[in-house]
Amino acid sequence: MRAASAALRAEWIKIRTVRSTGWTLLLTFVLCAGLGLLVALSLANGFDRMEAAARRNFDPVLTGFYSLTLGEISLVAFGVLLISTEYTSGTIRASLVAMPRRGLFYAAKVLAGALTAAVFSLLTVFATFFTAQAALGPHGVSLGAPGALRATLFAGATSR
Amino acid sequence: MSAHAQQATSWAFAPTFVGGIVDFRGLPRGGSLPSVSRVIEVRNLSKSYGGTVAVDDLSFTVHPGRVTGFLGPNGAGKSTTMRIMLGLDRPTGGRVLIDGEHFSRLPEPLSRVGALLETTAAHGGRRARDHLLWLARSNRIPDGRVAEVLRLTGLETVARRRVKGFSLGMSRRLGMATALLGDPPVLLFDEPVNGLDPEGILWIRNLMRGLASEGRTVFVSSHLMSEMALTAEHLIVIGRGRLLADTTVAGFIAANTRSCVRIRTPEPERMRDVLAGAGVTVSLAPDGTLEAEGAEPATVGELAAARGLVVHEVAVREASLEEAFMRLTGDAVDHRSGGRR
Repeated sequence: MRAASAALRAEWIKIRTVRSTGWTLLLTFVLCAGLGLLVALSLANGFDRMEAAARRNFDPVLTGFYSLTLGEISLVAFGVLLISTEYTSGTIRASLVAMPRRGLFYAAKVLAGALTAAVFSLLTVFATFFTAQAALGPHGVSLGAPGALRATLFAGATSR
Repeated sequence: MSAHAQQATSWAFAPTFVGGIVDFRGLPRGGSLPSVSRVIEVRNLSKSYGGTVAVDDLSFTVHPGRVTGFLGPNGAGKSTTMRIMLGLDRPTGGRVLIDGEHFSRLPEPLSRVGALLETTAAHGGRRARDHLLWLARSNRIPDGRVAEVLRLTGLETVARRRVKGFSLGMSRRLGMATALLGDPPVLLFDEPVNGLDPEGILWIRNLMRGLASEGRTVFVSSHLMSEMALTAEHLIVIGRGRLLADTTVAGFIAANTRSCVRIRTPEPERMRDVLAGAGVTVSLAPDGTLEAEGAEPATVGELAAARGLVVHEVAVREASLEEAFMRLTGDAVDHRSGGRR
C-alpha cells in the first residue's frame, strides 16, 4: 500500500511538471466552455426563427453540451501524451528502475492520469453547463431542472 | 588495500572545482551505510536476441569498497548485462543478485542501487528538480535529499531549468544526481565518461573513487582501458559476451603488457644478427630501429660492446594498456576494421 501511494505521488508529480498537461487541459476547457458558449449564443439568437417542431423538441442541456465531444479530443491527447512521452523521452527506464514492479507502475500511472482527467472533466462540464445555460438566456435551464444535474455528472464521468 | 583506500580518500576530499563545487562531505561516511553485503553476483548469465548471443554464460562477483571496471569493446555485452542487473531486460539464462536478491524484488530500489544510464532518462520538458522530485517520491525519499544531490552535483543553479536545454555534461550530472538520490550502497554506472570533456571526466572519476572509499560497491562500464586504469582497482573484462579476465588492474597490467627494448644503431642488420645469435627475438622496423622482445637493455648493451657495435639508443618501451586490452579482446571483437568478415 505504501509502495502504491508512493508510485501514485510520483506519477502525479510527473503529470503536473510537464507543459503538455497545462496546454491539453486548457485546450479542453476552451473547446468545451468556449464552443458551448458560441453554440448557445447562436441558438438563443435564432430561437424565434426556428420551426415550431424544432422549438418543441429543443433540449437546452444537450445544446449546451454539443461542444463536449470536440473538447474530449484534446483530453484524449492529454492521456496519450502521458503514456507516450515515457517512451519517447526515455523516462521509462528511470521509471522502471525506480518502480521495478511493472503492474504497480502502470496502475499508478493510469490511475493518476484518470483521476486528473476525472476531476478536470467535472469542473469543465459544470463550467460548460453554466456558461451555455446563461447564454441561452430565457431558453436555458438551471441545474435544478429535471435530469440536468444527472446529465452533467454523467457527461463529466464519460468524457474521460 | 589500505594504501588504496587511503589514496582514494584523499582523492575524494581534495577540493576540486569543476563547473560547480564538488563537495563529498554531503555524503554519509561508510559507517552509516546499512550493514548489507552490497555484493553483486552475476551467475551463468546469458542473453540472446533472436539468434544473436549478447551475453554468454557470464559469471563474476562485484565487491564493495572499490571501483570495479566493466571493460569490453563496443558490442561486448556490457550494456545488456547492466540492463539485466537493473531488471530492464530479462536474461535468457542465469541470474543477477544484488545483496542476494533480484533487483525487481527490492522494495525501494533507489535506496539500494543507484544507476547512471548511458542516455539521460529524463523528459526534456521537465525541470531538473522536478525530475528528481518524482523519483524521490516514488521511493519515499525525503524531498530535502533532492536539494542535497543537486548541490552535490553542482546543478543548483540550473535546478529550475528544463532538461531539454542541458549540455551533455549537465545531463550526466543529472544522471549522477539520480543515481545518488537514494544514497545507495551499490552504484552502477554505464559509460559515465563517454563524450565528456576532461573536466567532466575528472569530476566523475573523483566522484566514483570517493563513493568506493566510503565502502560502496561501484561498478562502472567502459570501453576505454586507459580510463579504467586510472579509475578502477578491479577489472572485469568481457568480449562477445564472455568473461575474458577478472583481476586487479595491477594484475592485468602485469599479465598483459609486454615490454620490449628499442635499439637505434647505424648497423641494424649486424645488430639484429648478433641479438638473434644470442637467442633474442628481434624485429627490424622500416625506420631502421630494432625491437627486441623480452630482452634487458643491459644485455643488449653488453652484446653490442662485445662485438664493437655503435649504439645510439637503447630504450625500454612499455606496451600500452590499450595495446594489452586490444590483444586480449582482439579475438572477441565483432567488427574489426579491415578484419575478418
